[in-house]
Amino acid sequence: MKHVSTAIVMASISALAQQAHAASEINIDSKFVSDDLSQEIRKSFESDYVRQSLQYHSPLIGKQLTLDGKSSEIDVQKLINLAAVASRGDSADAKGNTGIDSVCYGNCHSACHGSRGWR
Amino acid sequence: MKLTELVKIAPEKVEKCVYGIEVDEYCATRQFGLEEIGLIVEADDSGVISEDVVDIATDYVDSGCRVILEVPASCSVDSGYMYMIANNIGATISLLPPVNPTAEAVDAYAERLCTYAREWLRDGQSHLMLEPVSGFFQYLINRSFGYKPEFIAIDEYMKAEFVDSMDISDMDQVKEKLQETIFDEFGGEQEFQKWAHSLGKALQNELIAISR
Repeated sequence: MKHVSTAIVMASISALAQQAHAASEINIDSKFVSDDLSQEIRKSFESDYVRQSLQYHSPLIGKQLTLDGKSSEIDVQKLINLAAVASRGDSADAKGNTGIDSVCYGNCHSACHGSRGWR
Repeated sequence: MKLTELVKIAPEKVEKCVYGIEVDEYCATRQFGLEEIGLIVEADDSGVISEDVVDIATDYVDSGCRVILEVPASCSVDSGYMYMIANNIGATISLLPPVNPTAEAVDAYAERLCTYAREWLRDGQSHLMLEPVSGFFQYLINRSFGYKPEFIAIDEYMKAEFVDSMDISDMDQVKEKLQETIFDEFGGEQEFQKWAHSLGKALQNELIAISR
């Protein structure tokens, strides 16, 4: 059965952001990838909820994402800038820093349901 | 704590996140400044949820506060009905473990989590979270990518409700059943792995496109 609900996609994105925050590489193993399923999942990113979640989590995830051990062509700095603009500067710390943690991790708690993993 | 007590606390003295609130009566006055509130769900003998709980939950969601509907193990509510109410309100559901964890109670709790988990996984439209099912699902996603979190839970709510209040062997028993249900819903562990890595690929394609 294919499950592509907003809820489980958001839960997954949050889980991967937590993993990235722990500086753990998120390596996609292409032998497990189904292109059709991947395209179907990507359609769910059009949901406002997923888009908001992705906006704040994308720099963290983008930094740690690899495919078969090779780094992706993701411009992480651009993702940080986009997240900072989206948060209208709320994410900057007392010194005005808009680093990856202040932009991304600081916002994800207020914008999504992340960090509630149960091992 | 009772809701009537919560609303009497001065806003500057109240925590930003409060849980286990009993809705003893409808209070038109809200406690302002809350980021998240956990309301204990009450139902009558026929399983109908208290209107006061629904109204209060709706009021807090409307005011921008996240709401968790906390369902005690002793509260008999049909999963589909509970799910519909939470979806309509825009609240998270939290299925609390039994206060008196006899072997029968733990079995019943595991069965309840699995029933709700199927609803959660099959609903293609919802964005609601279902604790601790969504928390365990997140762990399975992490595990698919070779990551094992250092702690059972890091979130204070998860620690209080699903770690500190549960015996570790009961927790393991519940998780075993839950894992079986989740994998079964995806068509097996291999298919779950396929789903997780296909999601990873979807993310990679999306992030490359956004960052161009």
